[in-house]
Parts: sequence; structure tokens; C-alpha cells
Amino acid sequence: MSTLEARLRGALAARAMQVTATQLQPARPPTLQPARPVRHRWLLALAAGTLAVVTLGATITHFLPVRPERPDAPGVTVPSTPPAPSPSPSADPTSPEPSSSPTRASPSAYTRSPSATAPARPEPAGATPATSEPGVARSPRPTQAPPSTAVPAATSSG
Amino acid sequence: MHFVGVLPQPLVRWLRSVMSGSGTPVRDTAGPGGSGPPAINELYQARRLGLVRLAVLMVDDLATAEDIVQDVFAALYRRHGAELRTVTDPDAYLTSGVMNAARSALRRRKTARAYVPPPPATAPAAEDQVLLGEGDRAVLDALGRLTARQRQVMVLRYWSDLSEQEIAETLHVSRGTVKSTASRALTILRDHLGDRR
Repeated sequence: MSTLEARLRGALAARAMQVTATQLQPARPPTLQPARPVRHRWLLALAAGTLAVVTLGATITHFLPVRPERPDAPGVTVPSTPPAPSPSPSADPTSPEPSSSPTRASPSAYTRSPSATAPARPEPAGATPATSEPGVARSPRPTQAPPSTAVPAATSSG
Repeated sequence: MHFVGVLPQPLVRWLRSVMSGSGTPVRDTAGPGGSGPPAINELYQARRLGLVRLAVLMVDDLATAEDIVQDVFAALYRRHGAELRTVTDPDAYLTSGVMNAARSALRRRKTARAYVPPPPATAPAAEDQVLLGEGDRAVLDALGRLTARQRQVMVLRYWSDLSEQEIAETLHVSRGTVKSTASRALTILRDHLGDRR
């Protein structure tokens, strides 16, 4: 044994012998300690948490308003709509387009735009607006002489 | 009382504790036959002081050493029961537990000292300094400069008188590690103590 090892042994023994039994705290053997369910504490916490989650889920499921399912309508009540014509460029140009028909016609529209109600017939070049507008020709004016009668005379003379 | 003889032993102990007024619930402290204290209590009475001294050599603080020993006994009781039937060598178990706990305490202390200044309570008492000789104090100061693992090997080798193989089994390391750690620790101690001469 070297000198260093001897010194080491002596120093460790001197330090250890400084600790005596009277300096220690009163003995508390492990079996005399209060009983604590240390091992099962986490198990109880886990069980309580699981129970709380299940209860919460059941409560939410039970009191949640049930969304009514929409019943399927029977086939006979569903109105069948004709298929819309495809707006392809190869379609028939004479066929009426659904979007071109007027949806709202005012009386002023009838008096001002004859093309909306007039047939697709070429008018004569000398035709006057009085004869071409049926609304104006049919409307009687009791206070004035009807001007429509003069128009055919002018055309016949010329 | 005659009826005490026909009652079961745990019930008798419970009746005695109730009649004596001790409110703390007490676990079964009797042996298997109910004749004496359990094995762990006998081990506690026999080995407590030696383990506290061993822990003091590691952490250099009596209060911390007592806490370490108490925790190790409590862990032994929780794991192997009062009769210690499932542990082959309770003494080696306790020594290994004290060493591991002391190493953990030193690691925590080192981490704490990195952020806060050391409290004055951790310094050795003045009477302890007086009782120790100058040479012993120098050696203990040099021991404090070692790492926790080196200090473990030194304490087990030169205080507990364990062989290299026993130290390896206690610390759960290889024998070569023990040998190299001891050699390095002695070199460091020699350097420190040589400086002081």
C-alpha cells in the first residue's frame, strides 16, 4: 500500500467516524411509516379520468339534438324536367332560345319595339309607323281625327 | 384478557394500537411467525449507521446522507416487502442504492451550483474541521475535486474495502472500468496533494 492510499484510508475513516449514532435523527424503520397507497394512486387517477371522459361522452351523446334524416322522396312526386338544349354552336339557329324570350313585357315595350311581337315578316319600305304599330292604330282618339286614314291615301297617290 | 388469545394476531395489534391511542396506521411489523421484527427492520437497525457514513463520504452532508439512506430503505421495502424473501443480497442492494442515490445527489447539487451560489449549510461544520487533521482535510478536499464515479470507486475501495469485482457489481460497471477509474482518480489525487505539499 502506497503512502497515498494510506492517507486516503485514514482520511476517509476519520470523516466517517465523525458521524455517530447520537447525531442521527430518530430511527424510522420502513415498516413503521404511514401506509400510503403509493402504487395505486396513479391507477385511481387513471380510473377517475376514464370514468369522467366516458360520462361526459355519454352525456353529450344523450342530450345532443338528433338531426332528422331527410326521407327520400318517391319517384312519382319528383317533377321531370325536359333536358335543356345544349348551347352548343352546332344547334339549330331557328330554334328559340329560352334566354331570348322576354320575361317581362310592359305596355311601353309593346308600343316602342315592334320586333318583340311582330311576326318575322319583312315590312314594306314605305310603310309608316302608324300602320306598323297595331297598338297605335287601335287606340281611338275621340277628340282628334284619326291620322291613320291619311297614310294609305298618301301611299296610293305616290 | 382471555379473548385476546383467540383473536387473530393482526386484529390484536390493531386493538392494541387503538387502545393506546396511536392514530397513525401501522403496517404489519411482525415477522412471518409473528414472533419478532421483520427482516427489513433488523437490517435497518444494523446497517443504518454504516450506510449513513458511506453516504456522508460521498455527499459530505449529514442531512442529505440520512435522507438517502431512508429513501433506499423505503425503496427496498416497497419492492421486496418486509421479509426480503425476493432479494438475494440485501446488503449489496443497499450499498448499490446508496451509491446511486449519492451520485444523483451530487449531480443535482452540481446543476444547482451552476445557477445559484452554494448555501452556507452545505459547508462542513467548524467543529468537524477542527477534529479533522490538516492532512485529512487536504485529502478530503482533493476527493471533492474528483468526479462522482471516481469518488464512488475511491470510497468503496478504501472505506468499504471492496475488491474490484465487488465494486464493479455494486456500480454495475465492468471490472476494467473500475480499474481504470481508480487509477485515474489516484493520479488526480496525487497531483492535488503533491501541489499542497
